[in-house]
Amino acid sequence: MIRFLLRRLAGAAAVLLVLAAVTYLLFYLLPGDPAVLACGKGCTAPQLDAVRHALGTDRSVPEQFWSFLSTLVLGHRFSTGPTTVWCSAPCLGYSYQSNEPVTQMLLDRLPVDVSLTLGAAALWLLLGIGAGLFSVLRPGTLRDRITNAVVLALGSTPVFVLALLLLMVACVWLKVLPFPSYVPLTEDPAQWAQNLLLPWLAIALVSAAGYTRLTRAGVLEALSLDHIRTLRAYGFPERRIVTRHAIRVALPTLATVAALDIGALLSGAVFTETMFGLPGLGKLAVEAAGTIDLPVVCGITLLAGALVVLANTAADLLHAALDPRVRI
Amino acid sequence: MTLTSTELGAAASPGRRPAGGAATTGWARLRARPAGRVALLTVGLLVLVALAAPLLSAVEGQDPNTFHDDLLDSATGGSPLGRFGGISADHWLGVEPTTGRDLFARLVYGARVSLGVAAGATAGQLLIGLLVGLAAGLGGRWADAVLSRVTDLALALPGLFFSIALLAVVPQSFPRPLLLGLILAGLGWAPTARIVRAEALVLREREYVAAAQLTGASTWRIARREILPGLVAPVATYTALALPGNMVAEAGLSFLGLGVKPPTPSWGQMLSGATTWFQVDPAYVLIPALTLLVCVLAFTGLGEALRVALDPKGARR
Amino acid sequence: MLRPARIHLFTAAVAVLTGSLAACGSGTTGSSASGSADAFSAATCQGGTLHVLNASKATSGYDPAVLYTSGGGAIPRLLFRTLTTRQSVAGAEGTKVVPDLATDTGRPSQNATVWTYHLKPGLRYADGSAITSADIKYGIERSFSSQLAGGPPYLRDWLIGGADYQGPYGSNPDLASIATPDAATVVFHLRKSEGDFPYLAAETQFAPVPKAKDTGKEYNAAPVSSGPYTIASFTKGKELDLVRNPDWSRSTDQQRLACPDRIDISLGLSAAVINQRLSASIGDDADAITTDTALDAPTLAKVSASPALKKRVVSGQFPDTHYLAFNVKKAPFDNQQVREALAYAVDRTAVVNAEGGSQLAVPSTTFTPASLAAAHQDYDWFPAGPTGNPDQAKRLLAQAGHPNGITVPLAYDNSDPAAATALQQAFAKAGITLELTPLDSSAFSSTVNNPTTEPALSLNSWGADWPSGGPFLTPIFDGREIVSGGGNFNLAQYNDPQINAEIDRINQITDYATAQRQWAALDARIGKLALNVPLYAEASSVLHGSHVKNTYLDQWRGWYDIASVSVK
Repeated sequence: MIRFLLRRLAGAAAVLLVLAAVTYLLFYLLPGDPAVLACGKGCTAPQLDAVRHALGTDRSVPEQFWSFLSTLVLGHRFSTGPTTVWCSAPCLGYSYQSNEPVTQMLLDRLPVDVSLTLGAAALWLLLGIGAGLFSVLRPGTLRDRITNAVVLALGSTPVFVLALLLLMVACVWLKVLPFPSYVPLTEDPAQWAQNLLLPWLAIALVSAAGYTRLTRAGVLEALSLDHIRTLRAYGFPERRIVTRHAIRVALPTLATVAALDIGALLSGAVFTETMFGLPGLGKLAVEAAGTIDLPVVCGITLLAGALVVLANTAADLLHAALDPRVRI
Repeated sequence: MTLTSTELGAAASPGRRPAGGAATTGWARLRARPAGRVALLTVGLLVLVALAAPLLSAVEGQDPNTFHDDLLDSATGGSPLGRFGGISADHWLGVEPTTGRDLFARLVYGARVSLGVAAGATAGQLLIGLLVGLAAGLGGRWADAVLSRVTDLALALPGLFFSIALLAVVPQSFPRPLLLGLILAGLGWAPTARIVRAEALVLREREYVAAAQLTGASTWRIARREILPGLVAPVATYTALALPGNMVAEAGLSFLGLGVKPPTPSWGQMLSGATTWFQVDPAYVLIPALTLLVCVLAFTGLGEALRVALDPKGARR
Repeated sequence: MLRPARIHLFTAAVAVLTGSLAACGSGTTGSSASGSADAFSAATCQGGTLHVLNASKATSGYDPAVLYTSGGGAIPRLLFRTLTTRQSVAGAEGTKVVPDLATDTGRPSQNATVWTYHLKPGLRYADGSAITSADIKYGIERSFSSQLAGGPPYLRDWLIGGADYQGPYGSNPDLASIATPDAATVVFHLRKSEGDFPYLAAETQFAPVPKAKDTGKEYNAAPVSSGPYTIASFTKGKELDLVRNPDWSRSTDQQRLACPDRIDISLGLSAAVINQRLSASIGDDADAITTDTALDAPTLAKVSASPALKKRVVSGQFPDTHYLAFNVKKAPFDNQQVREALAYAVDRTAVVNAEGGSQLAVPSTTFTPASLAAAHQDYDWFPAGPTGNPDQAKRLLAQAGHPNGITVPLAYDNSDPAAATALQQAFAKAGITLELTPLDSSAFSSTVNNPTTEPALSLNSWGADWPSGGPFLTPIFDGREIVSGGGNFNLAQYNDPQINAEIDRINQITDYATAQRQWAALDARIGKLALNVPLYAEASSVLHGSHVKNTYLDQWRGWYDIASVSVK
């Protein structure tokens, strides 16, 4: 177990390092100078040089990347002008554009994506597994086919189209909800849920499809297993067999996929955030990419990569815990 | 922030993997299923619309890029005059707010970009995926180790970031639709490579391949003659489902303002312009939204039908 | 609701850097109206809580050295008093500069190269300590530090030694051209005559900063207030709550009415949410305004249909010109006939509609827009009519040796593609093929504002930092303002000693009205050269809650004067 985790950690560190390096290099090659934006209107050449020096963009790429890495691992003392401040590891430096500590920027936005992801995940698991069970109770019937068709249709809908349609229906035509505007859970739980309802729904409806299929396939597979056949022979009701026993066969796979999806979503949902005006990591990422805000771009890439690796590890552990045949 | 399937709603889940299969019987089975027929028909129609875009807009008598300022009310934000976004005998689907450009013409021309980029990207993914997957599967231990790590890295790349960066790095003079196709292909080949590698590893152990090796056939010849035919079914299935995913990805990038250059219309670009207008001019929003939806559904349905048709156990459903 | 905010060049840096869009509106000649039926009285306006719904996240906080505002901005003006400030009244008088911390707007000597200010007695910060002339000097010196870059460029250009000074944190902390002979007197020594100096002295860089409390880059989260309010709590990206500053004295401040007891500012809301909440005006939102979110075209279309909402819309026009910039150093625009051809080919109706119609854009044939009334002289040297004159354009092109038309790339900021496509289709009629080259805002400013990389043709905008022809014309047409390495706004790269001399001559005039008339004449004179093609001036409409009073748009900035509104 511990060896497995250590191996994973080493592998993850290597992947993240390459990821950061590739991102850094790519954005460094972009036409455009972050110092010009930071310096403002009417900036003279010497002034621009001073700003480049202050940002550290006057150094070579390897030097910049190295200092980014060492800052991340060891922390760094930054000058604020009259004094200096210590930025402790993991320190991602300061944003070129807003001058904020990047670590803090990411931490400020993470709750939005955690709220978004957890609510959506709960909803898609409920909808996905529910629809799967609903359809598999009568396999091959019209009900099965319609459920599958609807789920497939929703699953292939672009999330921004679905979001737009939800907004039009709920906020403009029926006027049952106001335009979403993020309210932290700690501030007002009811408002938090009300404002996130549409985003949750948009993501959940699009994501549920995979879970419906997995549930359906898993249960069908289970129904052919010996112990389920035995239960059937004893005359247990079909509904009970499916929801209590057969579903267990599908659980390890469902848990694995859910862990991976959650990991990917936690690092930002650009389209959902954009459509519903949520101040999450995805929007920050696009903004930062547009202004070549390298510390922010790399910070988000690393965070996203780390979350994906974490989710992968969690998925493997979950799989092992739920499926006795798998050992790590 | 990655272009993950969850985020974009791309139906790219691999599904059940059929082991080998004959394309011809699959085709027959596909046409035999009503859902498959409907999907096939819709896709055929869309391709036809895209090909005949100049003809269709000529029939309507409009051009996708001509402004009609006389059809707008400048005092109310440049919204179209008349009901339902200015729908009339001259403008079948109305006109675009603030420009007065004909929406029908833009829609049919938009099909060219949306379908073309998606098809090109899918073809690119297929090509790279096949080459990398075959090389990894048949090329020996070292090739496998290196290529598998490269594939892992490609899977972990933050797709949206890289698209944004690459779209900005490449000069504007480079044709944008081609660039979009290349970027989507370059960022999305990894799943195909994985599938191909896995299948190749299985097929390599088959007797007829071993027999071919004994006769002294080269690796390339074995790949071409013995392995590739066995890959048709799983790869075709995955590809059919990847195509709508690429279509959504293109629309997504255009939606964020990173797609084709104006004034070239694309569905994502139309949607992106329309989002602010949904309270005032719903037609402007619904037309591209529903078109994109129908198109993605048709391709997904086709992919799904193909998956079932190529599944040797397909009779089960 | 999702379109990126309409950010033009002038505000790009502001929006990105300070998170404050306050500087984008700069003066207005539009209507001014009080939205409420009840009469407003300055004597009884005190009390209540004003709510502000803003799109800006204010992630860069409020550092007076970094802020780029016009006339002190909106929210910054509640926290920072400056040597001078804009007059807080509705109408044309709102473009006047008046004393704030100083006893007058400044005494010029030696041909307007030396400006002397005396502080009013009894001025205090929110922490109770006294405001001295050294604090004014220190506040300005800070703005020279590369750690605190972002403010307006004028001080660096005007003050003696400003070009080389690196701020107070380095090895040469003192800027000798700002003298403080005593605790209440500050004297500025300029390297050239600047009759507009009192207008510059209204910028936040002229706010006092106590050296002992300076935390450099961290200062923006908790600046020491000299204005009527002070920060009670501030969470960047979320909210800023202001309460009264007990040490501010109404007797020394004739400009800020400071009616509400509290001002609660919500940050980072989407434009759609802001406009929906202001339209509904329910509960606290009846006491709400916004200082950064004007109505966009679709919302305008919606509001126009409702008489009740229309009553709560205030409109104004900004002295802000969007124009097509030629790089005269590059072919084919080194030929004046070609430049004139483009001026004739422009379809301003299509451009205005593309930008959201007549309520958001006003066609303009002059560089100085009509809204900058004092410095405006109407001219239309190359009459294109409302929709363009392609025949005349073709004739000129043929004369210039291009009988088959020309093909040129047009660079523009990707966040605002509307005008580019409108121009493209209008130019096509005159045989001018525009190859559109959209660039990200970062790439756009680094390419276009660098003389060595500047393309032949680009779409730009220019807004006035204060209501005067000087800051409107000088950076664009003064040949000595061609800045190498970035930050260049003389996009024509035109350097005519005669025009430079004329600029110097007008800068010596300290009488506002006289100077403005001369600026207007200079604009008309330069216009004949077709160094650029003015397209339109921005206009804007803003909603406010049903209970808010005294909601005029000040004509300096074209926005609500937040220091004047009342919820009582």
